Amino acid sequence: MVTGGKFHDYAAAGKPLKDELVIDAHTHLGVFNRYHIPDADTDSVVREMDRLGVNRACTFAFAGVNSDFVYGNDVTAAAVGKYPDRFVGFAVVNPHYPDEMVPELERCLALGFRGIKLIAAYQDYPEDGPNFFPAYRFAHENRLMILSHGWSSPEFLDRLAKDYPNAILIVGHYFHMPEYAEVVKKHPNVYQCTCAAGLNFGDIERMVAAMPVEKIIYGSDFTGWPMPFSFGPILYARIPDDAKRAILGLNMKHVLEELGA
Amino acid sequence: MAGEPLSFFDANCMVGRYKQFRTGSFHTTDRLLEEMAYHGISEALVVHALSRENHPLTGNAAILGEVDARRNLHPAWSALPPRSGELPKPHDFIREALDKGVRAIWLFAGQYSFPLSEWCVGALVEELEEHRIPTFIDADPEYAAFGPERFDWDHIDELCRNHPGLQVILSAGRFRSSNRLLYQLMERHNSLHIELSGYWLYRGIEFICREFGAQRLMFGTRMPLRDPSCTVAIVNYAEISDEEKRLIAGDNLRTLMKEARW
Repeated sequence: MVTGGKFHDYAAAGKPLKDELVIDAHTHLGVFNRYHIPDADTDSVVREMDRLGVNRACTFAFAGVNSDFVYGNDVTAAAVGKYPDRFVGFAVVNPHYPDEMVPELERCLALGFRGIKLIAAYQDYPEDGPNFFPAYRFAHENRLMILSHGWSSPEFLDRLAKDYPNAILIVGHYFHMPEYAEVVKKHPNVYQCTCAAGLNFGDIERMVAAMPVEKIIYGSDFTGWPMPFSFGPILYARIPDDAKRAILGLNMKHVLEELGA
Repeated sequence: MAGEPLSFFDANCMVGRYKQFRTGSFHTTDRLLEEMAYHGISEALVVHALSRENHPLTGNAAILGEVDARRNLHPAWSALPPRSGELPKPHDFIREALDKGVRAIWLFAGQYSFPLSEWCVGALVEELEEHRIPTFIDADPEYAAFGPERFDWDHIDELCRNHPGLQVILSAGRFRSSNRLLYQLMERHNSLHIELSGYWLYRGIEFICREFGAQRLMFGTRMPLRDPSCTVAIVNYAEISDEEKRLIAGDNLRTLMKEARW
């Protein structure tokens, strides 16, 4: 078992990760109906990223999750426009507006977005429902990432990865057991996000044991969650420092380079 | 973090077999000590899983055996509404607790399905208040609860209003949907605190310190269910002063526990 190491010492000292590449694959912007978020304006978020040593963040707006997805995408566009080197925009779509889905994705693509965020559980619509398929096709045709809160089932994700190989499909959360591990291993276009790892003891070690480390990417869920709450379990994990370095940034760097983002 | 390493005192640890055990986790005291050492946690307040899930009678006795002779582990007990007579009367119960070195009591209101209203827990709480026992309240029905917190905020308000000397520490699997309500109550009651294992909000520590003061927060990990690195990291990386970090990491809890007395 690997213990200690550079990242462990960073965490124990509260030292920012400024010497390392950190790319966060799963973040939010804006205010939220469900709970209060302090210091949530985009300038403050960039300042927090600077303070902790987070280089880039794939992001989308809370407004798109629980309210008007077009307005939410405007919030994201404003952040990407102001900080193009710090934010990678993800468009939120709503399956209850099927006629607007592709036009909205085309608008977001023109604004420089490089991904799509699905939050089907919050919209009371399944990921394997027909209204999402135009988004899957769009991602495939335009070489985009899709980060989804869940994917209905490993079988569905397996089929999607095969049918849309140009899309990068990201399992948005890790809840204790690596239920998508076999699909992640099988398809080069499927990745696992660390978001929510740590809510159960030993999540990172369990994840690394279940799938190739190069398929695991760091996601924090900020500004819902504190960034250190999410990178803490990686820094302290009993895995080699090189694995931590890959998860925190290098893996996502390769994905972004491949997509030209 | 410019100063010395923080002396973490974990307010929320449990030992003993628990129902929703997670693969890869642990339940023994020896392993808890190992994890504390790895994560830089020097002390812990520990409750037995039986106290939470089965009955205080069994768990409260069991935890004394677990932490005996391990000076950096401190026993915590749980209590019930008193009229059933399952536990000694509150006066005697608190006396026994203090005699045996117990300086914190949990009210697992969700697990044992009782409201925190005066008619139900008033007699018990009077004793806790009189003897200045830090009182942890968890309203989740299960240890592994993950959904929105279950506090009845009117009852928390009533408890704090009727017993202003009672030091209340709220603990939840996740403080989330009602943090706006929580802040209303923190404004009203200086005796109200939050244990951090469920308070995972972006810059939440900074906000509480700014608005209410660092003395209102207590470090806790919820081991062995949760990964302790989550809350260790949010304290180590918080944008607050070193003194505020020391308070949150452990000094707040140490201060409250020292005030418990017969």
